[in-house]
Amino acid sequence: MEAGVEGYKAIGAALAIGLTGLAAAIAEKEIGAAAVGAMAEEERLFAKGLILTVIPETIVIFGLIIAMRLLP
Amino acid sequence: MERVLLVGSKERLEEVLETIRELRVLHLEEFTGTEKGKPLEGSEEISEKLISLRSVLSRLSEEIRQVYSELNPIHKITEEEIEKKEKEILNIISRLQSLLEERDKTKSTLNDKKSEINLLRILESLDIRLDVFHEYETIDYKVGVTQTELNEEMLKSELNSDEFEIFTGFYDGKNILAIFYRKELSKGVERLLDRFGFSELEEIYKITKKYRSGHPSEIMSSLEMELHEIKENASRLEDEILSILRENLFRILAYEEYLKAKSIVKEAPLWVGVTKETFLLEGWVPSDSIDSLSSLKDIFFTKIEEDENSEPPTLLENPQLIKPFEALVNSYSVPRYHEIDPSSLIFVTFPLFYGLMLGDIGYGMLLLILTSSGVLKSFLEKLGFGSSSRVISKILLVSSVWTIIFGYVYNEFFGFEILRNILPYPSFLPVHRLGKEGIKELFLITVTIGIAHLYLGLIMGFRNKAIEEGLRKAIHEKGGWLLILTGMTVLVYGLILPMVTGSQGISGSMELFVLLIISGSFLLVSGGLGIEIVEIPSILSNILSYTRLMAIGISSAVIAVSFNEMGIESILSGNEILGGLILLSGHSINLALGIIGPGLHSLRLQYVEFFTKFYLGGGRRFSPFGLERKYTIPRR
Repeated sequence: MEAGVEGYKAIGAALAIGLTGLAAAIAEKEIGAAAVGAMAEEERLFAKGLILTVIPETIVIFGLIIAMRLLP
Repeated sequence: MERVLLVGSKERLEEVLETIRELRVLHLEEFTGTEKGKPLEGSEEISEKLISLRSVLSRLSEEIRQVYSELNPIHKITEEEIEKKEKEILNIISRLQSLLEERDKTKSTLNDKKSEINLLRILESLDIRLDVFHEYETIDYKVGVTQTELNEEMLKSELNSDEFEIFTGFYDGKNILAIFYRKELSKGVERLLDRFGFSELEEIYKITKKYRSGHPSEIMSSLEMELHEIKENASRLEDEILSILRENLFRILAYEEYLKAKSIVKEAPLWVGVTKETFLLEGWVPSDSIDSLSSLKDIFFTKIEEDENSEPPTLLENPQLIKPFEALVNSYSVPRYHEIDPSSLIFVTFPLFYGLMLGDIGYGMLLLILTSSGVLKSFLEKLGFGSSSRVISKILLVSSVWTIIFGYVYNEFFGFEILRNILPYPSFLPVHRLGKEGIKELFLITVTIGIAHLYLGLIMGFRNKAIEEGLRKAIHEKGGWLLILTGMTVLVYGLILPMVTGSQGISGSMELFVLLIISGSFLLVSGGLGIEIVEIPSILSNILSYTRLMAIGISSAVIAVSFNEMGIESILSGNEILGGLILLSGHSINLALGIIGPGLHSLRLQYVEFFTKFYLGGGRRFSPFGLERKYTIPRR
């Protein structure tokens, strides 16, 4: 029974990382494409584009913390 | 920065502008009155010369790059010499121009001949002589591509006639068909061909009209001979262009610079106020270079008081080591004149974060070698990074030092944990970042770094706000945020960290957290910034965002260790070459990822987490009137 609980915890941790990663990727896909488009028009938008593109990344870090909480 | 005004007699305008151009200390402001000057005499002639020269240079950009790399170092030429030899230089340029024209012509004939040969190959596949393509009275013909292969029997039954003849061939993966038929049949033939997806090759008829007789292969062989000659001619032209450039490149580049220097002076009066007898010139001068301007003779020179409406341009002054980091600040936005220049802070934190993430003595040393030897710089130049290559390379050079330091801390050499056997370590080191304990330690360290970084940002924001909008505003806005940050700090240390490490939370931290958040929100609301309350959770995500310093690092370490395991396994099982290849390519990939990943993430922490707390930017860069003399020595 103990092994079963551990297994579920591992699956939960994997889901936390995997799904948040996927979510961040989907969000960044759209922002990144728009940012590259804007940069092609005006190169000095690089910094702003970068900032906007990486904003969803924080979701993954939340996932990471949950995963670490599940597997101490 | 001082705002200055220069007034003098109009006759001396050109001379004064020339002096200022060489001093390069004055940021010219556009004259706002109505009596603006006109370009000086001769300006049109010079810009025409400049335009035609630049068009030659841009068409030769490939060759110039090649010759330039052979000719280092730069040989400077005096302006007097340029003037003396202007005719000669102009002759060289017009010679280059005619060579370029000739080259273009050869290129287009070369392409023509090549496409002719291609078309002839199609005819060759049909194996018919060109003589058959006459203008006939009763017979018509078509040549083209069909989707499917056709044969005579099929067409006969479809057309109910045998008064036609076809030739079929196969070229470049396509079915080729030539069909000759009586004119009466043309409707039926067209309908039929449509059904077989026939598309006519109109270009073929150009060939058949041009070469009226002979077999395609005969014509092709004579064309091939011509092609050979044209190619030889083209390479002769190219050689001549290169040899002219080898002898005269610096003279030509110097001439361009000389013209540019002249033209900016000639055009400058558009920015200057001019009356019948006098001129008036306004601008900004860095305070320590003001003496060099007051040395202008017989010119009225005065400082003007700053007024509210005119923001001075920003000139960033940093030690040579920190200079490259200005680029990171400028690419976000140029600081305003009264704002703190964050370059020196970024000089500390950017490489620190970078090293914390990459943290490997092997990669650090490799990066140090690549950057200090200039290999990385020239690689980036080849990729088209241009002048940023030098800056990126210097930033990475500083970062590589931190990478080596943290490589020592993590006890990692290309992912191997072997340094402990060679180097002395204090008892609290190394931090083993692939083990559970190491991860927890790093989690604590990175969150602490993050909180410190955010405090620094908010405190500087407080300072900027207090200077620009007064202490009251600063206390309401930045003070409120500082309280909220403190609340989040309590939450992180009291509850989240214990949660992650699996220990008990600190009692009372929840109550303290709530109290701090409420009082912080109160400060914000009472300062009329109630809407900012929705941003409160972002402070927590800001803090936790710094754990990427741990996460990115671990991922690069894990990749290194995995490649090591794969490589060594192959070597141990007797496959040394494969194992070596795995190690070499694996670590190259990881280093490439290691250069890009930590760089971007470190930059993101600066831009998103740090800058948003205090930095606004939006200033104007100080760009003095004048030009950088690269190829010429100005007249004394």
